[in-house]
Parts: sequence; structure tokens; C-alpha cells
Amino acid sequence: MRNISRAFAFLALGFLLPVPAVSVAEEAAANSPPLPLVKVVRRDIPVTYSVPGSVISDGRIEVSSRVVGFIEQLDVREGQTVARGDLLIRIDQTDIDAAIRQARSSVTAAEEDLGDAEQDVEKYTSLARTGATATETLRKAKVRVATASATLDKARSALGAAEAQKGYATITSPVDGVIVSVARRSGEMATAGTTILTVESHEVLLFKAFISEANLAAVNTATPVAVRIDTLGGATFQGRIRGIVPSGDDVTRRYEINVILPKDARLVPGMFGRAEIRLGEQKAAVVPQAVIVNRGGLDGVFVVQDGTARFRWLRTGRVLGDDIEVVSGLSDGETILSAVGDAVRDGSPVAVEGRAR
Amino acid sequence: MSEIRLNFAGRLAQTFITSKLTIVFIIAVALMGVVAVLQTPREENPQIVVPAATVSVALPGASAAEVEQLLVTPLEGILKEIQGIDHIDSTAQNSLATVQVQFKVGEPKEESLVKLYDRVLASRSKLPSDAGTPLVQSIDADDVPIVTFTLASPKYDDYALRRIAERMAERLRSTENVSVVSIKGGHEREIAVELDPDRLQAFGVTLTQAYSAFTASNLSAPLQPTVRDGKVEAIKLSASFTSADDVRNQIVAVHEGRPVYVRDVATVTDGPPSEITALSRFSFGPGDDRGADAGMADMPAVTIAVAKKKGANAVVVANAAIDRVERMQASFVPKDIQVVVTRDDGEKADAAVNLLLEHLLVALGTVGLVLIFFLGWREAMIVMVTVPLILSITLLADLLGGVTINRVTLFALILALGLLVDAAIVVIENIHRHYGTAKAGADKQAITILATNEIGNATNLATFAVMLVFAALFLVTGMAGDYFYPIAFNVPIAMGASVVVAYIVTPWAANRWLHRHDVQEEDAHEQEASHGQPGRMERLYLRLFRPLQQSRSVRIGFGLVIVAMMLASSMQGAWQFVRPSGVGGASSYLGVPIGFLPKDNKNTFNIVVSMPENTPVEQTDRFVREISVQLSKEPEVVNYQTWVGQAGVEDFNGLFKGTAGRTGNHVAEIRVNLTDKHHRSKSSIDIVREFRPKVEAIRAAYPGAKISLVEDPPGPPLRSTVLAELYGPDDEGLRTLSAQVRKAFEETYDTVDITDTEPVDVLEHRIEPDKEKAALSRISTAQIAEALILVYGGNTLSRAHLADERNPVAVRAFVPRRYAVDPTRLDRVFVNNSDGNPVPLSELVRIVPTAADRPIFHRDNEKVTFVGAELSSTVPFYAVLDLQKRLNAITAPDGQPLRTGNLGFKEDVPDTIGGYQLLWGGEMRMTLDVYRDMSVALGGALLAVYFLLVAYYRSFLIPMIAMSSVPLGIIGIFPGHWLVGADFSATSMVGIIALSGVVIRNSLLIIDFIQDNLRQGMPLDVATRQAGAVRLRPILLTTLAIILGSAIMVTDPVFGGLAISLIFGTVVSTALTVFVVPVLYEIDAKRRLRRAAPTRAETAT
Repeated sequence: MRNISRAFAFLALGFLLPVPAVSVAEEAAANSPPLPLVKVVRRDIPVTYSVPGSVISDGRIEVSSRVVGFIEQLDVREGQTVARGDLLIRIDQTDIDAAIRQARSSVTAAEEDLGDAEQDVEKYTSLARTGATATETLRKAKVRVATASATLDKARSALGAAEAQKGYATITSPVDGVIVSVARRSGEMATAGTTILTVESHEVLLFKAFISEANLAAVNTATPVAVRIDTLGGATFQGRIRGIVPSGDDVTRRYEINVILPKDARLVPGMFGRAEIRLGEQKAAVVPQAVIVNRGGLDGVFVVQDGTARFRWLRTGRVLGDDIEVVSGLSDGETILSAVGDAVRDGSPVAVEGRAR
Repeated sequence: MSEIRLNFAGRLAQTFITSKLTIVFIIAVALMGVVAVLQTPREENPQIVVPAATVSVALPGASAAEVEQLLVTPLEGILKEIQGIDHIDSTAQNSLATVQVQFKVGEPKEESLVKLYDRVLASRSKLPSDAGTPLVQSIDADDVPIVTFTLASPKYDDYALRRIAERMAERLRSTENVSVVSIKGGHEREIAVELDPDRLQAFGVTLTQAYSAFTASNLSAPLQPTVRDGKVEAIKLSASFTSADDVRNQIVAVHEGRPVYVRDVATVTDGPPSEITALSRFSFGPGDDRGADAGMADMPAVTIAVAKKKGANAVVVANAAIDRVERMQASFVPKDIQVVVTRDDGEKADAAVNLLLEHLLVALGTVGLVLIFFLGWREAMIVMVTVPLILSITLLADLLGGVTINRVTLFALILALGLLVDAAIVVIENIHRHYGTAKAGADKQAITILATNEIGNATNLATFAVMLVFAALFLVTGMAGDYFYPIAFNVPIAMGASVVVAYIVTPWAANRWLHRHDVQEEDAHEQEASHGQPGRMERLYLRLFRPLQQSRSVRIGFGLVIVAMMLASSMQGAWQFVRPSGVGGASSYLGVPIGFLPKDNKNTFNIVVSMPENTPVEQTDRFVREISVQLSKEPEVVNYQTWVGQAGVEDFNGLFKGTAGRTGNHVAEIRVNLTDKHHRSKSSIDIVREFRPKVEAIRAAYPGAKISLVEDPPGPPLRSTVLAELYGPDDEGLRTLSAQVRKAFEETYDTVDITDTEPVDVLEHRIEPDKEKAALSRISTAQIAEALILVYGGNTLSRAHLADERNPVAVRAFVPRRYAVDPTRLDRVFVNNSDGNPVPLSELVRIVPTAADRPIFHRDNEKVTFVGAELSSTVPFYAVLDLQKRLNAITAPDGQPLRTGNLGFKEDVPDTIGGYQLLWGGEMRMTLDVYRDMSVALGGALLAVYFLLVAYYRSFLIPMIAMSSVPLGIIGIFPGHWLVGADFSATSMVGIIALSGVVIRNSLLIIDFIQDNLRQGMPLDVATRQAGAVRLRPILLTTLAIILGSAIMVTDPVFGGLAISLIFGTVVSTALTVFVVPVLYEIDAKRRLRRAAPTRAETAT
């Protein structure tokens, strides 16, 4: 009993001592400018299935020559943008021209021959009427006309074919796109069917990724997909699934999906990105990334408690745009300082907006 | 006064009375004393040798239940065979068995450990073949750091601090007698490879490849030398990582003809780890000048802990270490780093020892004043000269006997002080008296020898009785035995030395310096006898004594009053056990609580926090921060260091409580240093008591958090004050029972800091590989494991040898939190199959949510769980008995009544055959053991004294009369405790033992004088009266010496009980003894005379 009452006396003294310190702190709080605050709220954040993939082009054209010949002109370079109809390649035409000339002379010869045969038929028709010649002769003249006519047709079509070859010697771009590779150089021999260059259409870009079998059921063509491209600073593009290739790999258990990307000049095929497929929602505490400060090697925030800033060490989780998920350390409804200078330390007095004197 | 044969005392006096040897003896003893004081190691508390060791065996992948069956049970069987083992505590947890073996107190340490090693290794075959090698680790009190330095700075982070601390530690290791220098806190440099699972996947690199890329490409090997040109030339393969860039540019895989570098798939950083799981902070409190500076709060901190070698002097080692640190601070430690000594056992011991030496001097001074007052200054000086000599001999015996100078040693000396002046007083007093009464012509030297000789036998006997009584403390077993050992060792030696010195030095000095009081001889108008002139005190005594002698009714009344007072006093101690309101609850107003050892006023206390096991470390930190805000408002706090995610630097108490060395997200500790106890008016006990409700208020917001405010116990450390050990056959049942008992604890008066060993269930995602699917995808379980290890927790894949670094730096690969993979959805983790195709893990495993494996505890081969509590102001006796009443025979989980036990004087062993059992452990057990041992010691001592006296007096009854003074002491003991406001404790019990010695001595001297008087032909009544009157002065003198000598101890929280028992008991007992003993003797003598010769019976009135 005796000891306890004495102890109380000391306790009372102990409480009296810090009083001046408290009042000083309050003055400091009154003098310092109000600091902006953020309230911690738990909100729905999407549960996403993030799957990496690459941007691919839907139209990729491998240009080759039909005609065989030396490449006379090949001025485009890799990366060059071309419009539909732009000249890409010209093949040496000498052979084609010769063939046309040859065909033309064949046509002329056939025309001459046909004219001669027709005159024969005219002559023998009148003679045969008079009986001056044998009917047999007339019949033979008629056959020669038919043959000559066929020969002419043949010669004409040969000319047409030769002239058509001339069109194949100049190759123009079939699409608006970009030259992605050039395999041959001017002067090289273009053989039929070999790729000389590749043009990619940028009209439609796709994002190709593989999803695991477990998530297959959660994905259909209506599922909204956000594609984040790392190289574009994490820029996000909203796409939609064009289709799921219905045949999966039986070893890796993965299915290919193609997501149609919106038209954007920054997007280039081959870019690495992640398709974030939204599977559902989840409640989590989220704060802006900017409020996180580092004190003594720890990442955390300053929570305002009874007019003082208290440092709180946080475990941060996923990054959601400008925000960051807080996995542990903050309770719902707590107020945190949103702009923290170096002067703010644990225990610093804080004048709260609206609450300051 | 005829020429008689000299006894031991007389002969010693005769030999040394004029001898030059006496001077040599004095000088030699004094010198030895100086050597002993300087050389004997100093400690705060006596070292309690409890050999203990931990045996741990790993069995990867086994569940707790399997570990229990396969490892713990066989290990316990093996260890049980070893002699001298006290307790075996085991823990079976997932993949690991830990068995802690505690040997009995006092077992030799090295031998015990050798036995343990031998037994464990010899029985290796009894363990499963896939179990790891048993690891035996000794738990050694000598490894507990004696000095800790905390480096803290508002400018540097703990990574930088650690680097400085490492440099400082290197310079400390060479200090003499320093054993282990360790660094706690801070973070080591590492090269962190933060893997991005998505990028890995995009590059077609799997975790498995990343894993092997590191392990296979960081190699250096010396090769066989070659000989060229007649010379040997060395060859070495050198492909080690030498910088973070090496790691960054390491190739992990080749993808479509292009190499994929680590930098493509991961972020490589060099420095402190980015994801922190444990940390330490240091703050100055209001008790320090720096406490007002806001920048000096919550600084990152790193602690250097220094332990000393066994047997080395803590004071010397600590001072040497501190000196080195100070010099380092002056030379290379940056000025803005605060280096604070946060623990200094050396200084603590030195302060305790110096304070007690001071107290010893004060006690000596007061005794000296009493002597001057009673004997005159010459005589007083002679007695005072003997004291340092006796103490010197005792300390020399300590040095030779391996007893350190510690608090208990010094308390023993203070206690002995009151007793050891006695021999010299008795001798000098008798010489003094003889000088006063002897005839003028007698030879001074002969008178001196005769005077010494006269009291020789009685003094020897009395001293021997006291020695015997104190030596009985050797019978106290266990930790308390070790604790009280210095008393049992020192007091008898001091007593023995005191008589020898009294017989050698006192007559010599008296002969040289004392004058004969011829004046007294002139007015030698003796009343009844030749025993000098009765002073005022003697006259008062005689006036009080006569009625007792003459009236039978007065005697009976006196006897009744004494008995009534004895009963009343005993009731003060016993009331709470028998009172109608029950044993629980607050103490009654007049009651004296009976405890074990009261808490001590310390300069430090520890706050041990353990959150529910599923608490993230950040949440633990939040809780700790809230407590530190409270701490920063306490005016007595000098500084405090918080440890989150790990326990602080271990101390002896923590080792025993099992709180040292804990790590984990839910663990925290705050070590609080208070202002020096001499500069503060509030004791640490009160500070803690007042602080507790504040912490409790914070704790209320954190359900499941357990917090203990631990004060270093003054005596042996214990797991808990109130400890219920619950034994039972079934884990689930024990859990239910534990909750039930915990609730009962919570409902008990004064319980605080309730803890239990049942962990909270932690949700576990059990990843079970689908064997068929994995096989079809051509992936092995080992590959899955490798991948998962990197994703969850990461792994040190390799070590880089950096040029500027003394130690190799770990290269750790892990998946950082920002890419954290949800364990329920492993679709982002890929493993390459044997064809090189990546397969998502989600396709290969099943994820089963379950509760994590709970550890299974065993104690002494039975399943156990503990519930413990501390008491804020009362003693465990009442709480335990109250709980016992409520818990005994409650229905246990198996439907049978719960059996409780271990409240007897013999320790019960667990036995679960009849169902669940509750054994009371902790302080209760220790209290019972100590009281048992002390009662046995007291009983044994009294019996031995009795036999001794029977032999001396050749009578059975006279010894009983002599010993009747012992129970008289009880009258003073409990009221004394009540007046001072102290609990009756184990030291009070030691006080009773001491008291017995003292008061028996008093009555012996009275009886001896009565018999002497009778021999000189005095009538019985005069003889008894005169003996009482003559002995009154020396008895009062010795009593006063004892009271004043021990008075300085009363304020000590621990040894106060001893002083209270001794002082109040002695006062009351002495006051009554001088009446009771002569009266009883007379009654007995008369009875004997009546029986022997009825005719002579009428000589007395």
C-alpha cells in the first residue's frame, strides 16, 4: 500500500514533465503549412491473368518474282514504308522484248499466210462453180484457211503471253506497309518463286500469346484484354480476342490466342508485351506510388495519427498503373501524407488541412 | 581462576600474544586480501552452471507428425539413457527435429557434452537413413555477450552501419579474453537478381535454366602446376563473378541463335537487399540529452556483441572492449554515427560489487560506532582491525575455491560481518572485564590468556553451531543451490576465520594497547557476585526478570503471550491460504505474501513481442512502433532498441525462456535501457508495472498478439512465473485444453503477459505435383521444386568474389514482390521440359489450401503444451493454488477429469496413461524445491546443532532449552516483513537459517555462564539471574552489530528478506531469549534437583 501510493506520486510527476514539450510540438504544427493528405481506401482491383506475347502483323507478304531474270532495279530498303502500287522491283526485260518481237513476227507471218489462203479459197470457189477446178482443190484451200487462222490465233496468244511477261517484270507493293526484309540485291538473278523481299501490312496488328489450359475456360472472344507493351513505357492498348486456336499443344498445355490491337503508329510487330486478361475482382488497399517514401532502407508511408506523422513500413505488391497495391501495413480509412519532403520524420507534427488552427 | 589446562583458544592466545609472528600474520593476511580483491573475477550474479545443448536433425519433407515418430521419439529414447539429465524438451516441426537437453544444475559442462555427443553419434543407426547428421550445439552461458555496442545514425542506413561494424568487430576480436564477437542487425551486401517471370517466358528462358546458368558458370579452380623452363608454373581456372556487371552479362540461354543475358530477364542490383525481413532500430529516450533531437529517434541500428571467455573477469574484458571502441571512434568511425554501449555486464557487475563493497564499509562503520559506544574506542579499534583480516581470509578462500565476487558473495560477507565481529567482541569483552576485576598485581599477559581461554569453549561451540547452520545451505539443490552457494561457502569460512583471528590477534592487541581499569576496582561493591558492576541496563533487566523467576502465574502468562504472538505471526504468512475469501485475489491487509525471489531494481528491461504466426513483418513493425511511441514518452528511458523479425542480442534469461534466437515475421523485441538506478527514484519494477497497462491498451487493437515485459530476474531464470505444463495423448486435445487453461489464467487475479505455445493456424497452399501430367509433359518434380524455390523466397545461387569485399558476396535470384506470383495461380511460372518446351506450372500441380503443419512439443518424452503467465505484483503461490482449485478435475478433452500435480515437495514426472495431466512448473516448482531444500537444510542444521550440544552438555534437555530461542524468532519475522512491505522470500528463509545460528549462540553463552556461575558455587536463582545480566551487554552488543551490519541490506529488493528476517527475528528472539532461556534453565534445573536430591531442593526460593 505504502509503496503504491509513492509510486503514484512518481507517476504523476512523470506525466507532468513532458507537458512543455507537447505544447512546443503543437506550435510547430500550427506554423508548418498544411500538407496534402490521402485517405486509404480498399477498392476493387482487377485480378488479371497476365500472359506474355508479341505483336505480330496480320498481313505479311513475301514478294517474289514470277519471271526469271536479273534484277534490274531494287531501290527499297528494310524499314522503308511503302504504299500500295509503289514500284518495288524491276526485272531485266530484254528477253521479254525479244520474245514479243518474235511473237509479233509470227503473227505477221500467220496473217500473211491466212490472207494467202483466203485468196485461194475465193479463187477456187469461182473456178469450182464453173467446174474449172476440182472440188477437191477447193476443199483443200478451205482447210488451209482454217489452219492458217488457228496459227494466227496461236501466234497472237503467244504475243499476248510475251507482252504479259512484261508486266511481271515490274513488281509493285500490294499493300500499305513496311519492308521488313530484302533478300536479293540489284543484279542478282531472280528465279521464279524465291522471296526477294518481305512487306508487312500495318493495317491490322495482332497480339499473339499462349494461354495455359487452366485459363482456357475463362477466356472467350468477348473477354476484354489489355495489352501492355513494355517498350512503350507500359502503354496499354485495349484489344479483343479475335480467336483462340482451338488446338492446343499436348505437351506444354498451351493454346494460342490472337488479340486484335487498335491501330497505333507506335505499335510495331515483334514488340514484347503482356496481355492482361481480366478474370475477376479483388479488394485491396491501394495508394498512389508517389506517396511511398524510403526511410532507413524501408519503403513506407507517413500515416497521420493525432496530428503527428508516423512512419509505417509497408509491404507493397503489384503495380497498378500509377497506383501500387499495399499487401500489409495499412488499415482502411487511415490518412496518409501524400507529399512528403525530407524534413518529415517519424513523430513530426502535421497541420492537417481544415483541422489546422 | 585456578591454573587450568588451556583449550584451543587459550593455546592460540598464548602462542601469539607476544610473538612477532602475529605481525607477520596480520601483514600476510592483509596482502592476501588485497590480491584476492584484485584477482577474483567479478560478476553481478553467481554463475549458474546448467549444461544444456540442442540436438537438431533434419529430415527434409517430413511432416511434423512424421518427424515426431521417426526422429524425436527415438532421439528422446537415446538421450534418456544419459545420466544427469534433468529435462528433455523437443520440438517436431516440418522437416526438422530439435531436442533440447538440459542437464542437472552443477553437472560438469564439458563432460556432459562429451557424453551427449558420444551417445548421439553412437545411436545414429536408430534414426532413418535419409535423416541428416545430428547437429549438437551447446547452449552456453559463457557465450552470452557481456558488452554490446549499438551503432546508429540518422544519416547512414543499416547496410553502411554493418560494414563499419564489421571493421570494428575485426579490431575487437584480438582483445584479451574476448571469445565471440558477433554482429547483429543490418544487412549484408548481396547481388540481387530480380527475375521477371514474364520476361523469362518471353525469352523462352525458364527458371530451371536460370538456376543452372549461375551454378555452372561461376567457377574457379586451382589446377596441377606445370613445369616449363625448369620452373614450376601454376595454373588456375578463373571464371568467378567479380562484379555485378559480370552477373548482368551472364548468359542464361541461347534463344533463336541469340544469347539471352541475365540483364534481359532480370534486374541486377548490388547492395543491401531490397526486400527486408528483419531490422533493428535505435532511439534515444527522454532520459538522454539526445532524446530531444527528433533526428535521433528510430535510427537504423547495428549491434556488436562481445562475449568473454569462461573464467575471465567481465569487468576487465568489458573495459578493454569499450576502450578499443572509443579509440576506433576517434580514428575511423564517422562522427555522425552514434556508438552507444547498450549492455555492459562488466560495469553492471562492477557497480553492483562496488556498491556492495561500499555497503560493507558502511556496515563496518556502523558496527564500529556501536563498538566504540559500548566498549570504548581502543577495544573497538582492536575489533575493527580483525574484520578486514577475516574478510581477507574469506576472499582468499573465494579465489582459491573458484567462487567469484558477486552480489551474493558480498551479501554473504555483509551478513557475516555482524556475526564475525562477535568472536572478537566476546574475547575483548572478556579481557576487558578481567582487566577490570583482576587483582592489581596479576600478570597482564596471563590475565589476557585466561580471559581468552575462559570463553574459548563456548565461543567455539557457538561459532561451530553457526558454521554448521550456514553450511546446511549446501543442501539446497538446483539453480537456487548454485545461487546461494556463495553464502554457504563464505559464511562458515568467515566464521571459522573469525575465531582464529579473534584468538590470535585480539589477545595480542589487547595485551599491547589495552589499559587495566584500576578505577573500576575501587568501587567494586558487588551486589551478588564477582561479575562486575551492573549498569542501568542490567538493573532494568533484573527488575523485569525477578517477577518471572518468582511468580509461576507470571511465567505462565508470559509463556502464553509468547505462544499467542508466535501464532499471530505465523498467521500473517498463512492467512491467505486459509482465509474464507479464497486464496486468489489481492493480499489481505495484514498478510505477508510468500514468494520465491522478489524482482530486482534493474537498469533495463525487455519487451518480447510475438504476434500471431500469420502476421506479416510490416504489421509486427507497426505494433512495435506504437509501443516505441509510448516508450519515447517515459522520462526514465535512456534509450531503446527495437528488433523486428528477429530477437535481439541474447541474454542469459532469454536463453532459458526460449526467447533468444527467435526469427520470423511475427517476432519482435524491444530492449529498454533506463537511467541508472541510483539517479532515479522509481524502481524498474514500478516502471514496468506502470508501463504495462499502456502496452496493454495498444495490444488490444492487435488480437492474438502476445507481449511480455521481461525484467531480468535477480536469481535463476525461469520460463514463466506461473507455468502450466499440459501433457496429453493427442495434439488436438492439447490445443483445446490449452485454450481452456489459458482462459482460466486470464480470469485469475493479477496475471499479466499470458503466453501459450499453441501457434495460430497459418493457411498453407500445398502444391502437389500431378505426377502423371508432369510425366506426360516430361518434367520432373525436382525441376518443379527448383522453379518454385526461385519464385518463393529465392535462392543464393552463387557467390561473387568482389575485389573490395573481404567476404564473398551472395548472388541471390528471386522473384521480387512487384511480380509476385499468386500461389493459387501458377500459370506464370514455367518449367522447361526435356524437349525444351516451356510448360506452365499450373498445369502440372494441384494447389490444396490447408493449414500449415503445427509444431509438436515434447517434454520428458510426453506431448506437451505450455501456458504461462507473469504476475504483476503478487506471488505465484496464490495464483497457482487458485488456478489449481478451478482447474483440478475439470473435464479434459477425452471426457475424463484433468489430473493436476507437481505441487508436492517431490517433482512429479509427466504421465499420460490416465488421460490429460497438468503439472505446475516455473517459479512455483522452484519455490517448492527451494523451500523444501531450505526446510531440510534448516531441520538438518538444527538437528546437527542439537547433537553437538547434547555431546557438549551431556544432556538432552539443555540443548532444547538453548534452541528454544529459534522459534522465538518467528514472532519478529512476519511482522517485520509486513512493516517493511516486503514479501517473504527464499532469502527470508536464508535469514531464518542465519537467525537460528545467531540466537542459538546467544542462548549458549547464557547457559554457559549459568553453568559457570553454578560451578563457582552460586545458588541457582542468582546464577541464572546473574548470567542473564552479565551476558546482556555482550548479547545486546552482538545483536546490535548484526542489526546494524545487515540494516544496509534491508533496502535491497532481493536480499532485503534476509535482512528483515535476521534483524526482526534477532531483535525479538534476543529480547525474549534473555528471559526465556534462564527461566527454562531454572525450571529444568529445579526439576532435576528435585528428582536427584529432594533434600537439597529448597536452596532456591
